Amino acid sequence: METKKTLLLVATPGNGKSTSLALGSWLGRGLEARGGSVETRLLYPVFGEEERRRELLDLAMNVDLLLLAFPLYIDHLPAPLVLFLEELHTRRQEAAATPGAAVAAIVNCGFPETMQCQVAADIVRRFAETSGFRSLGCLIMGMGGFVSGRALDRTGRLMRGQRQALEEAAAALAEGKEIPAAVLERFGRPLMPRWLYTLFVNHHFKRTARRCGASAHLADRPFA
Amino acid sequence: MNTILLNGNPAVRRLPLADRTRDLLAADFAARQWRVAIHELATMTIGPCLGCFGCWLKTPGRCVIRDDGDRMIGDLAGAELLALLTPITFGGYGYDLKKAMDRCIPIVMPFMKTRDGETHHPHRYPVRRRLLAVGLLPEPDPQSEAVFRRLVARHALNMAATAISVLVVDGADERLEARIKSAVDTLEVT
Repeated sequence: METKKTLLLVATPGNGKSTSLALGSWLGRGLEARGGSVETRLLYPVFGEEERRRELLDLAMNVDLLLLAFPLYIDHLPAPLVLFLEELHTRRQEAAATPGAAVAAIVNCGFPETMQCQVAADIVRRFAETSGFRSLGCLIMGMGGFVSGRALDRTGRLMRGQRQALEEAAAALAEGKEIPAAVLERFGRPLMPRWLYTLFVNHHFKRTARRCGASAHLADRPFA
Repeated sequence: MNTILLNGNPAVRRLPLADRTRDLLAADFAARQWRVAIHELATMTIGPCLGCFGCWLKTPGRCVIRDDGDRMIGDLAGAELLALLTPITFGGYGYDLKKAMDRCIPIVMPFMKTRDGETHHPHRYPVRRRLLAVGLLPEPDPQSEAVFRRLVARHALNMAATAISVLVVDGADERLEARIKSAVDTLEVT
């Protein structure tokens, strides 16, 4: 079944720069290039507003593909996305939705190991299975801190394999097919050695703490 | 044992089984003379984590949002046992528990360290916790249960838990009290 209408739902705090948005937009452009229409929505700004959330649920009920993009939060999905999926699950039990609709997802985490996102991918799959969606796969990657909200065409050679994987995922999703295992594997490959990434992240945190004047307090125990 | 119990029984479509389980857990902890702080998450004001890293880099150890989540962190910091009670949704924690879990980032520090071949954040407080997770399902669902067990195992790894016990309750369970006792016993003997 061809994917004509996609909702790219980005569940990340903040309104602008986000790695999830960068990854989701790249895939979304791939779908548009193949003739589909993609509506991109940020979940957090509507989270506290029932009417706008309801409107988003209406939209999610009427697409061929629900594409979720989110960062790993405590081994899981961010809480606002959990609530949204719980509500969507209830909706789909109560009302008719687009027949044959599917779910796919992109998850990134700040840890270097891609496998730390695996349980979140399993949860998305269970959501799809129990809510009457076809599950088309979940792209997972570690080292999300390297992207740090940049547009993917500004991430250079290190992300070349991930960009290509997103293109190939778009090709499969546009035809309503599952993302091939080889594409999932390529997307999840480490961008650099773990020690280098960890060095980079730890340096970033130290520098930011210095800028915030908190260097001497990083190990504080306010509740001791 | 200093214990914090997070009850994720939702405000909407409240589950009588969750409250019964909470009461049985509380009675079991009391019988062991453990000190317990019970947090009824559905009635607490806990905003979503802003992902701002303020709790790491601006006010280390404290969330920049001063709501009930901050009070919960105070109890969690010194707890030797973290007990989670939640409906299982799609194999994961329900929203009410998840909103609380997302706000627990202040108890770790920003840096990344390798432990047992995996990268984790170092802990801010010296106390090492045990983890008890009780998940509720309306009916047997082996696939969701398997995901839930994997989730709790990951969670235990990230918090470097010294012991872990997972109990999944599906529907009415006449042996619930005994099963709870057995699940908590596992933590005590470890």
